[in-house]
Amino acid sequence: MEGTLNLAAYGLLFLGVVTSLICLWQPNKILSKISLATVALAFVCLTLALIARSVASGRLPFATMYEFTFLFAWGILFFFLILRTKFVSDLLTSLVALLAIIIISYGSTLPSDIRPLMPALQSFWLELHVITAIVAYGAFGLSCCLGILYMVKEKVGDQGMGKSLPELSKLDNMLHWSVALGFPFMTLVLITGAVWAEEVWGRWWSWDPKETWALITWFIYAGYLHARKTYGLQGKKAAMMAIIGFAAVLFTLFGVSLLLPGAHSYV
Amino acid sequence: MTDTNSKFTRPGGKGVIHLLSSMKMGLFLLLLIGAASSLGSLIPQGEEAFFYKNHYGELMGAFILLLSLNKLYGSWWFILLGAVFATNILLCSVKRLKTLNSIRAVGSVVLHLSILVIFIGSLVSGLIGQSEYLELGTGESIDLATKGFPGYSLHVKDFKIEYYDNLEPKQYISKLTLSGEKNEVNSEISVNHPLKAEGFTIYQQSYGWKAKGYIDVGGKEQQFDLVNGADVIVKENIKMRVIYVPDFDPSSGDLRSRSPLPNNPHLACAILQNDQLLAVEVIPEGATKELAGYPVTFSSYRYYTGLEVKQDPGVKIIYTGFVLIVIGFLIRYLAPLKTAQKSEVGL
Repeated sequence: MEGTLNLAAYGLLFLGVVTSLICLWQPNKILSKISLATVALAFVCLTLALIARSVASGRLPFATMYEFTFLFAWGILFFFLILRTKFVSDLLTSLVALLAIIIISYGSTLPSDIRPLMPALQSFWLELHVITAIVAYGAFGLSCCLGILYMVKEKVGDQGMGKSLPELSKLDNMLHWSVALGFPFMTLVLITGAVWAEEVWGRWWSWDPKETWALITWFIYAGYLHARKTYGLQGKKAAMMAIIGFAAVLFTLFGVSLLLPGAHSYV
Repeated sequence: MTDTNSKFTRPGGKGVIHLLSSMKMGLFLLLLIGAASSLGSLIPQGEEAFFYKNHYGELMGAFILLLSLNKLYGSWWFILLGAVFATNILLCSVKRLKTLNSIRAVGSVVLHLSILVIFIGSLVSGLIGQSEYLELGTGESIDLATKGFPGYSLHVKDFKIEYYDNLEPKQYISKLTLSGEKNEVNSEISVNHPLKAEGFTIYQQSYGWKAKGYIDVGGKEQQFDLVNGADVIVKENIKMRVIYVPDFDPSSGDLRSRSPLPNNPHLACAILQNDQLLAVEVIPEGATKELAGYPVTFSSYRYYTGLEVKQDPGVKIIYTGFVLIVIGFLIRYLAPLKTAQKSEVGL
C-alpha cells in the first residue's frame, strides 16, 4: 500500500516537472493547471503513504532517515501549496517538484523496513523534534526555490520564463517570509533535540557533527534575518544566502550522515 | 538592532565597546563561530596526538595540535569567541532597551537575553556539574561518596528488559533506591525516563550479565562474581575467562545465544595459561565441570545495570533559557502590531 502510493507520488511529480517545463517553453494555461494538479495530487499520495506507514507500524513515521526523507519532501510540497495561493509560477512548480523527486529518490535507496522503536527513540521530545524539523526544512526548501526564482527573474527580466514570475520585490518579500517562518521552528528543532538528548543521555549538547551542522544552519539564517533588519539586505545577496542556507540544511541531513561519523546514528 | 552610528569610530575604550556592540561584529562572530564549528566537525575530535601526525602529516598535525583543533570546542580560543559573542549580544540588547518602541521589540530582547541565559547555564554546568558512569548488579549497593557525591548511596533492587514480539528490546528498566541522610527515594527508571530527585539525575545507560560461581584450586574454594567476558586469576600465569550464554543451544554447541532470554543459562569457561588455551567447558547452571584439573561451579547469574549518575544545576538554567526563547519568539511574532508598523508584517 505504502509502496504503491509512494510510486504514484513519484510518477505524479515526474509528470509535474515535465508539464511545467513544457509550459516554460510554450506557455499554456491548461497545461499549467495540470502541472499544479499533479503536484497537489502527489502531495495527497505522499500524505496517504505516510498514514499507511503509521497504521502499519502502529507509530508515527518519525524514526528513520527513510521516513524523514518522505516527511521532508512532504513539508516542501506543503509550503509550496500554501504559497501557490499567492502566486502561480511554472518555474516554481518545476523546481519544487524536482527537489521533491531528488529527495524521494535518495530516500528510496535507504532501508525501508518497519521496525519497532528502540528505547532511545521513544520520546515525546523526539516527536516534537521531527515535527518542527518538517516545518523548518519545508520552509527553508521553499525559500531556496524562491532564491533561485529571484536569480532567474533578475537575469531574464520580463522575457521568456520571467514573464510568469512576480516582481523582484515580491519575490524578495516571499523569500523573507519563508525564512522568517522557518527560523523559529529551526530554533525549536535545536531546543527539542537538546532536551531529548538531555533526557536520554544526560548531555544536552555534545557537538556531534549533526547537531553542529544544524547550529551552523541556524547561524546562516540568523545572519540573514539580522542583516536584512539592520542593513536592509535584499536582492541577489539575500537570495544567495537562502540558497546557501538550504545547502547547509541538505548537508546536515544527508552530507553529515554520509561523510562525517557521529553519535547521531539514527538518522 | 539599531546600528546608526556604525560609521563613526571613536577613540579609546569607548571605541572598543562601540565595536563590540555593533551588528557588524555580531554578524562577523556568527560567521567565525560557524566556520570554526564546521572545522571541528571535519577534523576528528579527541584522538591521540600521533593520530593527527599520521593522518595529516608532520607539519599539519603539529599545527592542529598547536591550535587545539583536536579538541576545538573546549579550546581557549573557541570559548573566548563564545564569550565575545555573548558580550556582543548583551551590549546589543542593552542598547535596544533604550529604544523599545513596541511589544515585539520586547520579544526580540527577551529572545537575545535567553541566549545569554543558556551561556550562563553552560558555564555553571562546566564549573560545578559532575557526572559518573557506574555498573551495579541487581541487589548491589554503592556508596556514592566514592564517586564524588557524598551523603548518598544507591541500591539496585531489580533490572528487567521488556521485549517486542520479535525479541527486539522495547525498554530497559531499573528499580532503584536513592538514599540520603534524611530521605529515601524509590523509583523505576528507564531509557528516556531518568530519576530526578535530591539534585540527582540518574539515567538508564547500559546493561549486561554477571555470573557467580567458584573454582576449586587445590581444595580451596575461590569465589568469582564476574561481568560477562571478564577474567579471574586462578594462579600465577593462569586465569579463567567466562562468557555467559543465556539461551545455550546444546545441538550446535555455539556460544551465540539463541535468544536474549535466559531460557537455558550456561557459562562458557576457558582456562588460559599465558594467553594459551588449556581447556574449555560449557557449564549449565548449578553444575560443576572440571577444566585442566580445576573443578568449576556455575552457581547463579543476574543482570547488572549501567547508570549515569549526574548532578548538574546548570541544566535547569539552560532549560529556563529554552523556555525564554519560546516566549521571546511568541512575543516577537504574535504580539499585536501598532498600525504604523504594519509594513513589517511577516516578521
